[in-house]
Amino acid sequence: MDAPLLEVKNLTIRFHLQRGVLSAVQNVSFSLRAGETLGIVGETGCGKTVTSLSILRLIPCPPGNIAGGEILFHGEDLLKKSEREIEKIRGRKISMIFQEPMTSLNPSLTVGEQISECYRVHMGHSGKVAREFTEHALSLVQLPSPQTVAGRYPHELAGGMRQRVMIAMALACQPEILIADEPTTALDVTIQAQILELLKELQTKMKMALIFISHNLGVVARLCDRIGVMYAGSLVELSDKKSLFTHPLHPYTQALLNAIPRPDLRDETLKAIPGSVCNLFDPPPGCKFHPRCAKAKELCKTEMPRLEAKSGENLAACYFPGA
Amino acid sequence: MLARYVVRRILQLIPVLVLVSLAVFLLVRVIPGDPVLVMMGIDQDERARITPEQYRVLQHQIGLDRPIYVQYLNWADKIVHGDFGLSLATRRPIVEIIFERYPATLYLAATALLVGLAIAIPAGVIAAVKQNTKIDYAAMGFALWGVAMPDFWLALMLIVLFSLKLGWLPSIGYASPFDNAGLFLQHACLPAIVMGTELAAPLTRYVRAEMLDQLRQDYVRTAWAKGLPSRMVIVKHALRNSLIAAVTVVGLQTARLLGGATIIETIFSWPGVGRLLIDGIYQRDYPIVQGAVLLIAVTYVFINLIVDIFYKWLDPRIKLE
Ligand SMILES: Nc1ncnc2c1ncn2[C@@H]1O[C@H](COP(=O)(O)OP(=O)(O)OP(=O)(O)O)[C@@H](O)[C@H]1O
Ligand SMILES: [Mg+2]
Repeated sequence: MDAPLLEVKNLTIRFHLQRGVLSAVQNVSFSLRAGETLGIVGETGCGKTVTSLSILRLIPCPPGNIAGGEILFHGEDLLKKSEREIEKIRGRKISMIFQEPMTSLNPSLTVGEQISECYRVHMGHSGKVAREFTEHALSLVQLPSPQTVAGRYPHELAGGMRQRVMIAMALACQPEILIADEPTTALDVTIQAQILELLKELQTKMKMALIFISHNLGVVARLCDRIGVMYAGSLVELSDKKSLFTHPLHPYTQALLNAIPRPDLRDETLKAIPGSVCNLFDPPPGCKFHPRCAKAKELCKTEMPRLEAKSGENLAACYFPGA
Repeated sequence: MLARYVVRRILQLIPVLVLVSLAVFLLVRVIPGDPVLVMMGIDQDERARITPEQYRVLQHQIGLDRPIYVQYLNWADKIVHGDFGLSLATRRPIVEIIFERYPATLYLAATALLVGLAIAIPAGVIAAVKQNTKIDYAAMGFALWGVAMPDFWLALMLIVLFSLKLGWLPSIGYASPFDNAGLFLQHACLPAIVMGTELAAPLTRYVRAEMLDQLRQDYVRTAWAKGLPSRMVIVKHALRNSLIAAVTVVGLQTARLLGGATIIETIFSWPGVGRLLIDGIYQRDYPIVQGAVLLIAVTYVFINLIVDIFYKWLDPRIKLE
């Protein structure tokens, strides 16, 4: 097996706020191989966005602070790079698209300008060449009449089109990794499906790795080879898709799966997860899921489990994994 | 779309201009004393100098024996045709006098505007980018000082320092920038700094607040994520949007500069409309006062119009509506 393209090791991120110190991400480790699709799921506030922003070093500091860990890209720690060096990676080698296509584009610049500046900055293309590339990029994301769209302002486009523009922008320089942070959450269902299809297609075409973030297991399942499950700032399970759905290791994953409505199990009622997510300012000792876990024993209340291989390649942070 | 908006805005100006002209018209009539004497520039206690016969002739000449609305309509009709009457002191047409003075006011305001922008934009941007650092505190300190400090006081201090003590710059005088640009700059330097500071102080705060807001926006995060260098993110993305919002403030402040230049023009003996106004008041040359006030008010109104149109044109989101 070849060396991973991206390796996140023991990443810990805190926010120093007036109310206290919030541990947004704790000891998160995962790796990504070239061309692979990794899904990350978890409830709102569990640290998905913070984790992905930290890869591009986009956490606002202050109040944020990467308290520990490494993010190795081609074996080099991104956290140790200078601002200059990281600028050459952002948008060029690793790109990101965001949840809100409405607010993520600059309202006072045309769509074309916002894409073509990527070509000028990273590739050193002249304005004219950059414009040609821009039109090509817009046609790649299957926007009709790219030339017209390039001259439009973001507010003149519909949500789905804006997200296509975001994708065109992120993929402009053919990055090795695309991080998509809930790119379809703000869109309605039919458009959501089209965007997912497009992402899948472009990923294969460009042979890039994809980190796809969502709070929706179903959406992640359509795209991803491996899926990581986050809970309250920790990665609690990292398994390949098939095992995750058939033999979930972590009780939280099991609970999530039970909460998905399934047409084939009509009479069985959905099981909501009892309790609520812990307070990130003051997480409980031991496993953070233990107050909500039916299987919790004494050990779970005192000792934090590490993410370890439990069944083949599949990892879980639990002392009592599996059914 | 924009053309329709412009037409609508210009139509909206008509009532404003009517009100302004009414105010200017009534100005002379609310000044204590007999309007006939006021209009003729004769002191109230010198009334004995003219016979009742002369008085009636004067009254008729000026039209003060007719009903007040007729007086207004006659007056407004003349104004619209560019006839502001004659100066009492020099018997020259007001229009001629005012338009001799107007360029000096405009040149000074433009210079002050440049000074103000040159201070406020960089100061506001740097303060926002370096929020809560010493630079930020320094910029905010400057802004507070600039807002609190009376402009005549700053003017006097600058004159004391640069004209009297150091002898670097003249404290009074004027040259047209088109006749002698160097001399103009020498003379405009101190008044432009005073007026520029007056403009820069509130504007620095505004630019800073607006930048802080923009820097938090999602699209700025996108710009960082694209790998743009920080200068590009700050200037091309965040500042651009901040300035769109700041245009209105700049416009209002500029209009205020133009109108409020009376004190500064007087202190620096700047031959502009503001000083003309003050001189007119001292000399009881009321047609001059009327003309100057009207011009300042109309300038104010039109600058606001231009700013509004410019704002529409700048912000693509508003254009659609
Ligand atoms: N800039 C910030 N300042 C303070 N706290 C923050 C900041 N960004 C994130 N957080 C906190 O970090 C935690 C993780 O947030 P994050 O945005 O990563 O969640 P998420 O999993 O992406 O949730 P969602 O599904 O809602 O997007 C949250 O508790 C959030 O309040
Ligand atoms: Mg998020």
